[in-house]
Amino acid sequence: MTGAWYPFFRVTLKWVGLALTRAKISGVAHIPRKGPFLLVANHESILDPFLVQGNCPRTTHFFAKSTQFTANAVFGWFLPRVAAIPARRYRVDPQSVRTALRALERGDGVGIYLEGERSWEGELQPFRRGSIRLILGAGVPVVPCCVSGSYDAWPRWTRSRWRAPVHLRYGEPLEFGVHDTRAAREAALEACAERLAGALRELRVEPPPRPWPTGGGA
Amino acid sequence: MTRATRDDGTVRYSARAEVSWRVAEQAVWYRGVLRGFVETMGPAAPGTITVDRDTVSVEDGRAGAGRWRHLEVRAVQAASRSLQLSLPGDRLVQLRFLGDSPRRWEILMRRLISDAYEGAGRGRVVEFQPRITTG
Repeated sequence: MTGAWYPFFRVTLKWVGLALTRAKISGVAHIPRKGPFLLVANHESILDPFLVQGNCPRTTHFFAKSTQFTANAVFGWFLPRVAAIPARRYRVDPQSVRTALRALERGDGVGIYLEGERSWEGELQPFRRGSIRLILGAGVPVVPCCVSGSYDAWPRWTRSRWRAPVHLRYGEPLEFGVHDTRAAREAALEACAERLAGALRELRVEPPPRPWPTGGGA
Repeated sequence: MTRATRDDGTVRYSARAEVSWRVAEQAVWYRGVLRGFVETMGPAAPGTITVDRDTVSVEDGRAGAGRWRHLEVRAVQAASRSLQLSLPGDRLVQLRFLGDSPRRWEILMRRLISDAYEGAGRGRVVEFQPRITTG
């Protein structure tokens, strides 16, 4: 249910992202050719959606913070057409999970930025527990995806953009099995988060030394 | 951010901000399918946020303003250039700081809330959004 706009905007995102970052892309072949999947990524910069979603050849419904939908009329029109799922971050949002599960049932992909927000310091932050529960409950292949260097190209705490080498790497799908009870999901939560963090770190390409002291976001 | 020390030695922080309160939530539909819900924020008004060891208060001269114990705050997160606080009664306030960093306020609020939870024997806070959760 994404309509004709999705392929158009996906390709547009891809080329805009590549033009802005000149990112090196690898591992696209790891994305399943058919069937539902979860695409889980780190989030370093506003540039990430251009790269992660733009270069994913399958229809992928990404969670996006609800405030973006009301930021202005253009975003309100655009985001549903790129299959964004509004997620209210100030409360538990069961509707966003229902929308994601429906997309998986239809055989589409669902994208999650596991940290729930852009990193302030370019380092991997703790993952949202709700996202891990969704992964454990869905029982579909999970494709890890790591963006490296986008923080150096455009960190959250500035409006200026810099030139920095950016890499986007999709990893081999991970299987976590189906955890269909709450107790099972809670028991597997920490191990799943650790495995995902390990997969993202393996895919990470370390950036060159930064020209500013780290921790500049505060 | 202004830091003031009271006579009893406790520290209070405050900052000016544009304050807006959630007035409604609206559904997002696309091609006849419900995608989710988004909040609609009301008009912004100049106000002040003040925190001390035990409480946070938001003053903007409107009905929603008030003071809450840290243990009553439901969630804290920075959203773009603003700080959002979920408050009792399903209320949401958004503070856009004038000349201050939402990140700095997010860190301060999270530290004070963590201390309040540990001080009250309610455990270590492991997550501040979508709701404050202890581990």
